[in-house]
Amino acid sequence: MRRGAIEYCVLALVKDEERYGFELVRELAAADGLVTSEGTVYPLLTRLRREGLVDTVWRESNQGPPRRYYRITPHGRRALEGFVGQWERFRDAVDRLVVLGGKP
Amino acid sequence: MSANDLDTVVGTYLERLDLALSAMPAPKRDQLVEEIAQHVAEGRRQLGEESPAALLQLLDRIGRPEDIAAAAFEEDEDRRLSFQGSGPGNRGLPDRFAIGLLLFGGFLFGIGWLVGAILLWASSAWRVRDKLLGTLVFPGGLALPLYFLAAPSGWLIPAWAGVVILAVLLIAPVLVAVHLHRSRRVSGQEEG
Repeated sequence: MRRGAIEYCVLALVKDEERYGFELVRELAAADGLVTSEGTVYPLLTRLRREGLVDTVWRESNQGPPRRYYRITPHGRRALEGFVGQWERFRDAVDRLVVLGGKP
Repeated sequence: MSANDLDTVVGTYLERLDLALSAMPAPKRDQLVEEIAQHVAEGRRQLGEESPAALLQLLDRIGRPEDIAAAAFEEDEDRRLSFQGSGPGNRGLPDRFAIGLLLFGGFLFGIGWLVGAILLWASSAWRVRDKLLGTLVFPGGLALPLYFLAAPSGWLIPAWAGVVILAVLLIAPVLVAVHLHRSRRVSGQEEG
């Protein structure tokens, strides 16, 4: 479940603004328990690119070589919106059972 | 430790990654190694004063090359379902239909099983190994034992072996159907 959710966390991070790989990976890795290590995020980014959920653009940087920036595609945005709706229902259902012990 | 020594540490790390990815096609492998190399370079730039301890900590955060390679192979194989367009229940229906047809479709002149197999392979809910399993165990599904019973003439096998084969032909497709049902990757809470 955790792995399935990470890709949507990536999409959420680039939903409003494009981010370059290093920044994106650091932000994901900073969330407790989400990824095992920073390096394991790159294969995921490759897959999201391959599936057309994100695309990338190279931009010059004044702090070093050009950076690859990730941004969400319309397809990625639809996938994220679909996930958010389902995630909220899922979260509420689990909260009701696990946290509240099934009490309304 | 000099800057050159630190470069050597990074070089060795990237070589380990390259080696761990050796089973991957060169373009994909090169791209991932390049991305990790850029991540290391960016991390080093942000370190300011670079020390061996800081560099090792940076590499530690990036992770073991073998773990990165394992993640890469897993992502390559694991084409998970997109949540896009999947209302509750509707996404899993063709998949459940596929399992049903694989089991019972053989009774529909064999065509039903074939449709089940096509649905199985068209679905993104299973991995290739599960699709292979669903196809190979057994073509015709539960109709196969019927054909076996109907055409035993000329087969020189002892009766007990016939019973065993019949039992396998009956039980294995059911077990595979249960496995396919459990292993299909449905979206989130839809099927748990």
